[in-house]
Amino acid sequence: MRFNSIVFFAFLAAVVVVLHLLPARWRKAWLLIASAAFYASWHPPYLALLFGVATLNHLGARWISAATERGRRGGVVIAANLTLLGIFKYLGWLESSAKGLLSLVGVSVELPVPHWVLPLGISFFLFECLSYTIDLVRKREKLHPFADFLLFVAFFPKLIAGPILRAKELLPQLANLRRPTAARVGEALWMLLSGLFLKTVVADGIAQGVDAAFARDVRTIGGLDAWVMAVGFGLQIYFDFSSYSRMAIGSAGLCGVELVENFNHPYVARSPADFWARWHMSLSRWIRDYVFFPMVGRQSTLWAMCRAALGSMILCGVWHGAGWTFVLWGAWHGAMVAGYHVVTFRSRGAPKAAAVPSWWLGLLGAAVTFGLVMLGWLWFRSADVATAAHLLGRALWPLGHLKRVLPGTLYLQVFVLTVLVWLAPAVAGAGARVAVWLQQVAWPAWAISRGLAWALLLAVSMIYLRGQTAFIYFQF
Amino acid sequence: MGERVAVRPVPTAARVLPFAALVVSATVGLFALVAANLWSKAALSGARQAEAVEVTRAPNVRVLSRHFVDEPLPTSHPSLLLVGNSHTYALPGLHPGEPLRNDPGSTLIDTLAAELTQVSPSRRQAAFVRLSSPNLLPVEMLARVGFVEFRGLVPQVLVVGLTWRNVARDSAVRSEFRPMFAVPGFTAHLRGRLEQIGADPRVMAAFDASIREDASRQKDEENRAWADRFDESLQGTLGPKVPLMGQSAELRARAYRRLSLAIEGVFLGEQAQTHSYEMVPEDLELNRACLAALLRLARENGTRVLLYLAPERDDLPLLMDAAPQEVFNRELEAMAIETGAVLVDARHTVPASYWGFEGDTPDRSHFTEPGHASLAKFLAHQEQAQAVFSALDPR
Repeated sequence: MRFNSIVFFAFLAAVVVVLHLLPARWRKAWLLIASAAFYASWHPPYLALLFGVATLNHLGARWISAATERGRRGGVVIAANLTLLGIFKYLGWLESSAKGLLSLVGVSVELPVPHWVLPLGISFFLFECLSYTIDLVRKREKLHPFADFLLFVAFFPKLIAGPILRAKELLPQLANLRRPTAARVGEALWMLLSGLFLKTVVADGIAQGVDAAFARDVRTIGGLDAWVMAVGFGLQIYFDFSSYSRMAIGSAGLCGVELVENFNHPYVARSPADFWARWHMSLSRWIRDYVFFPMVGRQSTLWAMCRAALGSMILCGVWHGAGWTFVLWGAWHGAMVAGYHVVTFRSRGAPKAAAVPSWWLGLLGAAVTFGLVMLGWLWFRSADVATAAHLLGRALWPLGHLKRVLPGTLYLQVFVLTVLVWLAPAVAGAGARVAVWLQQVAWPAWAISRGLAWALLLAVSMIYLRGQTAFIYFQF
Repeated sequence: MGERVAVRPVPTAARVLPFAALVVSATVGLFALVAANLWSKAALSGARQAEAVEVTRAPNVRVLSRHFVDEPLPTSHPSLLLVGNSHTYALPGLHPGEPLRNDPGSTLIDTLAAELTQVSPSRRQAAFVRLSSPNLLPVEMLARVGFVEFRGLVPQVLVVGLTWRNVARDSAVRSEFRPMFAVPGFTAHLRGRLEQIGADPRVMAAFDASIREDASRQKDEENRAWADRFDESLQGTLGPKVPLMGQSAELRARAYRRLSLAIEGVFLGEQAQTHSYEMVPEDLELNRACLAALLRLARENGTRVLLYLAPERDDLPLLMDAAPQEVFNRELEAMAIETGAVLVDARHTVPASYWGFEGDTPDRSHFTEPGHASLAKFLAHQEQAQAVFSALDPR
């Protein structure tokens, strides 16, 4: 059940109304039933996988909790989770890579590997289970009742594409589910409708041009075209995923649950490290806490930081998809973050040089980060490594390929959206201040304008709700 | 754009009356949504009445849909098949601000049938078939002609209208053509025919790419969630009752037209009529190979071919560099001579007064009814084309 569908809105309305009519003791059970129905609406047999994973992890948690030395048992449960992820997500890639390697030495074999449909959201809910297990081993988490844990794993607004939560962020809220206040309902509706608008109008709007560009024969692409493709896809995936996160936060908000933010204007980041503090924040937080910090260790030497940056970002790439393009995308970001550490390591703690104004450095950092992040998307989006390398070559030497083959409308869309993305922090801040002021001086006018804004977002979304487009992150 | 902004706690009325504010917002939103639906229903019904035209067409003229896959084909013998882009069927607005007009049965296929029948009344027995699409590319023309042959229609005469912009700038088979490849047996048929005539391997490679994309689409379709299928049927049910959804394609088209014209005006201003497109050598190469394959396929089938360079508007500057076009035309002529086809230059057959408007801009692609008549007269009376059209005479 996609968030951008009529069925989902009907489902959400039914879930929310019944949830708040039920006595408090039945609400968790109702949310669990609703979450199961939500997941089953894709591929009912995989409901068994979801509940199986949750059961396995809860049994593992009980086993870990019973031990005084938790590390070894924790390692077994983590390995079991990673094996499951490997079987469902990476087996096909490993098979094709092995076949490719064997063919280099003239051996051709057919490996008996099953080709399953990737269970939706598996990377997300398995990472949540992993974080629970690791926190339990570190004694930062306690053993929760099975039903609560099941709901933590399966809670429908964040089940398919996050945000990736920790048990302590969700379970206390679920234990004490209350009707949201009217102000909270208003905020949740705004998140839901603005997310729908950003998906149907903005993300799907630019997707048509970007998909057509990536479907072209790569030899025809000019240097500026390659940049437009990179930035175009960067904008598409940002609006696609951030809109999903907004809708997830809005849906949970209507149920009386607050989810963590996932995006904070990532394309105005001033450094690669800043970018990852703003992009898919729940995943980067997971990687920072469970991969980067342990890899850096207690002595945060430059070498350790660079090694950890590269290792954790490659893992981040592989998390996104089973393919060499994702490995290289991760390595690209790892190199960016490592490079940032190299540049800034010596100056940490030292007083800032007065010769160069900080705003200038910030602007330069933002421009360089934006360019590098966008070029990185070429690895992420291209069908194979050769195509990505070709496009990257064109983008890095645009003067050698000055022809333009992509339509001017795509150039225009990319330009306009880039400007909007850069202005968004200032516009959003000003908008919020105006809303607060209007609430204070004339609340009926504010309420009317809010109602009109909701209607406008919904009406335009209905017009642009074409076909059935999935969110990009559903494939991870 | 993608995140919430922290709002400070509100100390005044909205805290006192948050529920009232929510009720007001919801009520206003609901009324606004109902009003938007009513407005769009009224606006579109007026436009549909204006656009509706009564189509009157001679019984021996057939127009196949641009989504053609399983429509019945004419069985009359002999037959003429016309393929080309929208210059073969669309009519421009007569005044600035007017949209394209629907074909009432007075465009090229009709006027060509009338002209050829006038030359030789016995040709009334022939079927005149048009199979055109917007921006029809040579790679798509080849697929279409191959598909028509696969379905059993081998025309005696094939008339192909070529527009340089479509030949020189794009060569990817668009999604609307892919359903053909899902018809059992067609891909194997096309592959076999292309091998028989010794077509450039890149031609089949282009189709293979399209076939792979279609296979991937079909796999997605098979794996589609039941909720998505239910949603589709729900949209179908609600569509007629909720114009914002049911007529969303028309509303989107209107919004796009207005927006694109406004943006073009802001960014290009006076230059909007003169900015030029570059050609893409790789696309041109593949399209050249496809046209060569099309001509050889026709020769194999005993189909006589008339190629014409589509009319261009003389009173506006060219949108693309003329030199490569002349080089290509010479190559096309050589291909025509090699395969026994006839190439005629119809670029200057439609005078400036027979062109019109698409919205606020002068239309460069489509001409009015007299323009269609003028082109048909030119094609029908070309001396070198008589040998081609004689295939329509009874034997």
